[in-house]
Amino acid sequence: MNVLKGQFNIEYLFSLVIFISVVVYLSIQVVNAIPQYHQRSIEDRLYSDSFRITELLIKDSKIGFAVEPYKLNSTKMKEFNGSCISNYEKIKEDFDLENIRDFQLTVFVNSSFKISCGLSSIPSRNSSVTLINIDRYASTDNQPTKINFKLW
Amino acid sequence: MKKGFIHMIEIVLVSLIVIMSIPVILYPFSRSSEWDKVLLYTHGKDFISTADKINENGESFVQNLMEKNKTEISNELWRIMGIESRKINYGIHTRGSIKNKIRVAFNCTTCDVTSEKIYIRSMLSPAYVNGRFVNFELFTFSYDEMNKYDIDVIILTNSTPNDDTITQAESHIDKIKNHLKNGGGIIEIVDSGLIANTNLQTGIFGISPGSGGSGGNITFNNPDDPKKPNYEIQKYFYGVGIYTELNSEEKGNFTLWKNQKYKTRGNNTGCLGSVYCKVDVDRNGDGTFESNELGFVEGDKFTIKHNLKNFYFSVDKIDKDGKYVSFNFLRDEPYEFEDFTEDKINTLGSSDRIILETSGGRPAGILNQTSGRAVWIDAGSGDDVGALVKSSAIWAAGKDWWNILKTISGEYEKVSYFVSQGEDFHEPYWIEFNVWYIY
Repeated sequence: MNVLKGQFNIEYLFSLVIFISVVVYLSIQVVNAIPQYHQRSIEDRLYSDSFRITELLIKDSKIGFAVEPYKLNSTKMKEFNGSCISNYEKIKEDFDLENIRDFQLTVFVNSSFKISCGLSSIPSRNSSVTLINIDRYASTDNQPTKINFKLW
Repeated sequence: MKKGFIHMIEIVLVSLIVIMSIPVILYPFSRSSEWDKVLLYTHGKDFISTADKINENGESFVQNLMEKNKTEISNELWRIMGIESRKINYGIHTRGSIKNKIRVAFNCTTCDVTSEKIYIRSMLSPAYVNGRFVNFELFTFSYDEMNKYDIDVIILTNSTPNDDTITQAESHIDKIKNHLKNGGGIIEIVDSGLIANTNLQTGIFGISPGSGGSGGNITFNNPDDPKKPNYEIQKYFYGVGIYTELNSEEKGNFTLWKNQKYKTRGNNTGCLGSVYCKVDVDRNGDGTFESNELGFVEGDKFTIKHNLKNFYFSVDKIDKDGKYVSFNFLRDEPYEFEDFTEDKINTLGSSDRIILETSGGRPAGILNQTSGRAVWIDAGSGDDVGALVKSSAIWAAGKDWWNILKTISGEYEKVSYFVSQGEDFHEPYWIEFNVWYIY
């Protein structure tokens, strides 16, 4: 009896199906992971910038408010606030922030509002913009001080 | 090459690839963020660093931390943390600073507990050290249920009728060793003439009965070398000083050199309001206050003459209500005790363990660190010997303790902060600030 034989045998077809399935599965994973990774990298960048900038504010006497680390000066705060209001872009430059970034900085001394600088409106929670919000603590004239920094 | 062998290689390679792919397939590209931990650690560091920059009378809040009670510490930290205190909790652990409260336990089976307590209390009154009170909490305990007690130091004496604290200790030597191994301490206030050659004395205290030597004034062996073990107790002695309670007429007295009594009293002449800001001291011990014995304020130095030598003291703390006064011994003239030893005690091992001894070479106090922190002091009386016993108890209690102990829930971050302070003696230590999210 003559037996008909196809171009591909059954093992070949089975292997091909498995191979294509694995490639498709991995491709889907990679496609799904890339936006997550991208989002994470944005978050990482924003967090590291936020920490860098707030470290400068509470520890540095040139750009920041500090006389010594964690000891802030209210006059420096007021001067900074003046410059920030008159030239926000210059402060962004001093902070070494990219043009696409924006920030809002608020300082409370002994729970009372002291200064606020940067953009007054922040992106809403529903927007696709990633916003990082961190609080740092120090002392001003022997009073506890909270620095709230938002970066997006 | 045979076909079967090639198949085998293929199977091995495929198996390896499958095994290596499993984690990737099961946990595809996931990575948890560590920023929450970084933020928590940063908050902890900010809180403690801020507390260190808030000054009170020239010292930072952190430098004064040992002088604060739990409520004062909590209030100040809540003030710094603000709204963050709703989601972050903390505990504070100190490493390297003497304890503010030392729990001293004694085991008294046949003796009268009240008499024993009075005797021990006569030596362990509060001590005002480095700007804060160190209090000794006395209580009885049972060796059979030792684990249930929170004991810093076990004290053994032999000075009240039917006192069996030593014999009880000898029968429970393994439990004592375990207590020492777990970081506790032990002190023994027993006449040198009553020290026997037992496992307790040789194994725990490293001493045995001896002969030879003679009496004479007692001085500290090592006032200079902090690397040697016998340095620390003498260092504490000069900070512990004399604590004298003043009665309703603001009068009290203290005893030095065995039986020399000195009167003292509170003085509010010229003080703001009706508070007591001065103290009078009967420096020559004649029972009356002469003009050069009046109106010492905190920090003032005065001398008391004994055996033709002027010994220096300072006023460390005056209670504003006239209830107590605390004096410090000063190193200007190294302090000398009157001889309160009876017999020679042999030190097993290094002589660096002898804390103080007579000019004739009879030890009056020996420490041992072989199994833990143990100190033997020859039984004596007076406020100078009391200061020695208190210093020994402080040393034996160790220097690790919780200022604020709270149950830690879940993961926490530990912020270590170095502090150096000391009004009576230099006290460098680490504060460990543990922070965690409540939810």
